[in-house]
Amino acid sequence: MKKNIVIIGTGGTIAGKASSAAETLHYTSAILSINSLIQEIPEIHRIAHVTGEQLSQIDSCDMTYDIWLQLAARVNELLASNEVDGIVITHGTDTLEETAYFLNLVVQSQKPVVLVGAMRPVTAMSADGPMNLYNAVTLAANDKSVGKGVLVALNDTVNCSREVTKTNTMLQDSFQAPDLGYLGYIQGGIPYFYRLPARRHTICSEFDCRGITDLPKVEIIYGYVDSSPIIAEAAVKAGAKGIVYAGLGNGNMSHSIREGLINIEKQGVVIVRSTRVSSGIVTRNGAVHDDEYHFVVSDTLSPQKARILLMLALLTTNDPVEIQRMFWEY
Amino acid sequence: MKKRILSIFVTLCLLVVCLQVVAFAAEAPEKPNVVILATGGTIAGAGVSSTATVGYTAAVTAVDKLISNVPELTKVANVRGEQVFQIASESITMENWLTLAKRVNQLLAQDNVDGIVITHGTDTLEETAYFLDLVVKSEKPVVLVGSMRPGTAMSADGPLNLYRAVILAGTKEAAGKGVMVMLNDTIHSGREVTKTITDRVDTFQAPIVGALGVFTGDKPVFYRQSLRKNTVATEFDVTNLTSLPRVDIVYHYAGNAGTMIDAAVNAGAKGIVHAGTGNGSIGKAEYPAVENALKNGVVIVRSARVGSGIIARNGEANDDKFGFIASDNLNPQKARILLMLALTKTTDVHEIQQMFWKY
Repeated sequence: MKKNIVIIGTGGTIAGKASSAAETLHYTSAILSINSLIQEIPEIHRIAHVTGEQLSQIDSCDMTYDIWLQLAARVNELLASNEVDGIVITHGTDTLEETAYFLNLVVQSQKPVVLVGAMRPVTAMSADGPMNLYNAVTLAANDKSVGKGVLVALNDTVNCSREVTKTNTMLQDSFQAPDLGYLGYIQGGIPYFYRLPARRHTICSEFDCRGITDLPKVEIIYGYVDSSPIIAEAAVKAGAKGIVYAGLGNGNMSHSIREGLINIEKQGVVIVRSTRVSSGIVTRNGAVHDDEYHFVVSDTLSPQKARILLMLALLTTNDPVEIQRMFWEY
Repeated sequence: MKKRILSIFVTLCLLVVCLQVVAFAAEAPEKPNVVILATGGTIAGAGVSSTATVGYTAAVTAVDKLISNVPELTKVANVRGEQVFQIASESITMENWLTLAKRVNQLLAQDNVDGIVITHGTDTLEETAYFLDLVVKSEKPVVLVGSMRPGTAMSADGPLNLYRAVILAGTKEAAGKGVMVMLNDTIHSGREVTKTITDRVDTFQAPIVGALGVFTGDKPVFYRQSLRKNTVATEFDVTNLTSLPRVDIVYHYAGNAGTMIDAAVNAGAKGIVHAGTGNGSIGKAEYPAVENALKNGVVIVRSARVGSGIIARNGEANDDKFGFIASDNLNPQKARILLMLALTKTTDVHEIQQMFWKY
């Protein structure tokens, strides 16, 4: 009994074209329609009943809240139907990790949702897109993938959307989960799982963006030597309700940044301490006395993922104690 | 016959004496003169107990105490310490950098200094290391060292890191390798090394390109050297500098509309490093802010938030058309340092791009 899988196209390198087969750097993303991508791999029909839908056609560095909300609404709508067993989303690799974690928190179904992209355009020699898409469909059509949260499948690996991040600008194995590793592999059209996410996701999540038309503004401020709080203050002036500080080391900050963020927090803006280093936990009350300043720590979430959780948290509360709870649970 | 035996005996005696002299010389080689410049950090930190590895106070122990805590140092070098400043490295300033660089250059110009070790907090150690890599005017070894656990912790990593850093700074083979970073038995190049984990002793890594070498016992072993120009081969000179041009880093993410770029320009930035998504992408919604920055004469470098890999010039953005600079494989914080130094020489984007390929 073949499963019904909907592939939602959003653009990206996986739908990109270059002027020659040797060209892997200079190409235009988001050209080919989702239906033409599906036509390129007739093998896909052997594993599932596949239909394509074009939701957007963008380079993922241009991803917007608006598209996120449309995508989440459409995924929830499709998965509520008995006719749909799983969803694959083709996506540019630049912000794939962000969209994946966003959906992981707002999709209201246990059915498999798999994000997939490519590091090389369709026109390239040894283009990785076709196999990645084929693998993603096999993953979305497999019962083993149910209840594992939103998954990311590139380069024969299955990643958890909470931890996965793009770690390299151009290599095929760019998508990794630092320290924690993959959930599993896909080999010969079969997914093999070794790990489960331990954090709340999908149907166990308290976040719901149905009826939401915009998300609270949260900006990321990057830490570096002798930086001044002017940039963070500008973010607040521009309407930020939350700030994720991509701190030094263990989420650390200079005296002047700390003073600046303390002042900003007093204006009702929620401050989350994350880190610019690529792995590890930000210790609560470690480098900075969070209890005293009412800061929130990001656990192991990268700045861009901490931002997503903070945006969703701010839909329901701006209490830093409550938001800290969410950061430990999601 | 007797005469012959006597001559053999005398020869043997001479040989034994000679061997003893050689052995004595090997036992007591001339020790290198290494200066330890202390700047603070966790390596000079103290916690309330031996199990407190978070929530301690950095930068409290003076350099002389750090040295006396490791008596073995005197066996491997003639060591003396100088307290240049005493701070946790997240609060280091450009002024601190210039003070430090000038002192390093002053000391290395002296015949009685063979190498320098700088104790430093780990948060911005990678930045200070690359800054010095570009402005130190000597081939003598300069080694930055820190620790992930305070001096009061069980299994504190500081003492052994410091001991090895001093050995490295006193090793002839370490000369001409640029400014190095020594933690966790590993020797890294100041250009590529970055802190990758918040809290573990193996946090310092150089993604993709790896370490220069490792320590085995008391011996540094090198496997690689940097191909990029550093120290005496750079065009940068801090001798007459009293400040550095302002450069800010802006981070890109979904839904980013360029607010931070405007803020940096309004704050008087002469340069901006864009920590782009993927291969250094700039979002469409950021372009009005980017073009405004360019109009204001701000130099823009495209780097990436991903942690490794080259930024392809004219790949994700038309660098030629806009006058952007691609950061090669420098992470945002290192690209910022090179851009600051570049801006002390020129604002010509072609020239600055060449610097990014060279350093």
